Amino acid sequence: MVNYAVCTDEELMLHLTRGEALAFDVLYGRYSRKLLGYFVRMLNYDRERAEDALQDLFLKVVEHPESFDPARTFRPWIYALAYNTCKNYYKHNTLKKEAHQELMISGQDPDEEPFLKAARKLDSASFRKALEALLEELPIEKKEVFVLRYQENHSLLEIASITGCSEGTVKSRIHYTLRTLEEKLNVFNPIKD
Amino acid sequence: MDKNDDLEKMLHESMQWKEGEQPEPNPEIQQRIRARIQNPKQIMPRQEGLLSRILILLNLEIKLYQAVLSLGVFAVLMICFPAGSPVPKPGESVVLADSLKPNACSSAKENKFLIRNFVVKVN
Repeated sequence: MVNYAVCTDEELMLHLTRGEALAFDVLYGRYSRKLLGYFVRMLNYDRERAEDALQDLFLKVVEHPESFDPARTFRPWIYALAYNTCKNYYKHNTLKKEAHQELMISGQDPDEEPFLKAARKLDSASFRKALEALLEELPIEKKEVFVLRYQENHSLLEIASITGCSEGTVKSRIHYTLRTLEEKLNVFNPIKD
Repeated sequence: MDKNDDLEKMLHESMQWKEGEQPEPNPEIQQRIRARIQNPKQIMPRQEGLLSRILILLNLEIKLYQAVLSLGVFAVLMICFPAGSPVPKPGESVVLADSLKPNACSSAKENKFLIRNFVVKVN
């Protein structure tokens, strides 16, 4: 008798390839809420669409469990699938998808001082609201990186693996988002120090 | 470093779902996916010809050499034991005659019919 609850995600995927529905239940329990939260943010708070995306994603997992490479870790793999699901939604729906120009950074961290000054003028609720409004406007590839970093708490390396780009590009996209957010916060609070 | 830490903390906190805000998945989704595991989609079989279907039904696998060998044996049997030689009954005689060899085959448009072989029975 297998105790699925103590199995790793990778072991559960192995059980799933044998059609064991209990393995799916455990995986679903571990990831469904987090992934739904991810989809809700990625798909501009469209709850219905987010649930459709969640269902599509897990159907892909259970229909083709053999597509998971056991040599890889499960978490980046399922988030990469989730990202592709979102991209399909952007492709086939009227979600914003314009490409923004990448900001190039030359190795050094961006100057966070102006951003923090602008952010501190707001209470946390207003800051959050501004952040959510900004996320809705961001193109998918930048939003993806930001949500994975700050909502899903992935490392830069993991994000690079999920999105298939370099760590430098990941940093650049986060920096871009912070700069845009800073501008937005200054618009909300035009009185500068 | 502190500034960066502050910023990271602020962003992490802002991006987390607050109590009661975290979206909960509809339980039906899990049921639907579970049903798919228990009843996986049937893969449509390839379109097969009639012979292939019969062979599949009989679970036979005929190889080319087997087919050639069978044809050879059939041809030898046809030569050794030609069919169509009528056996006369007592008191009857049989005359076998060939018609003229036709120069051309009759077609549907022609109003004549070329007979290649026929048998005349004389009582």
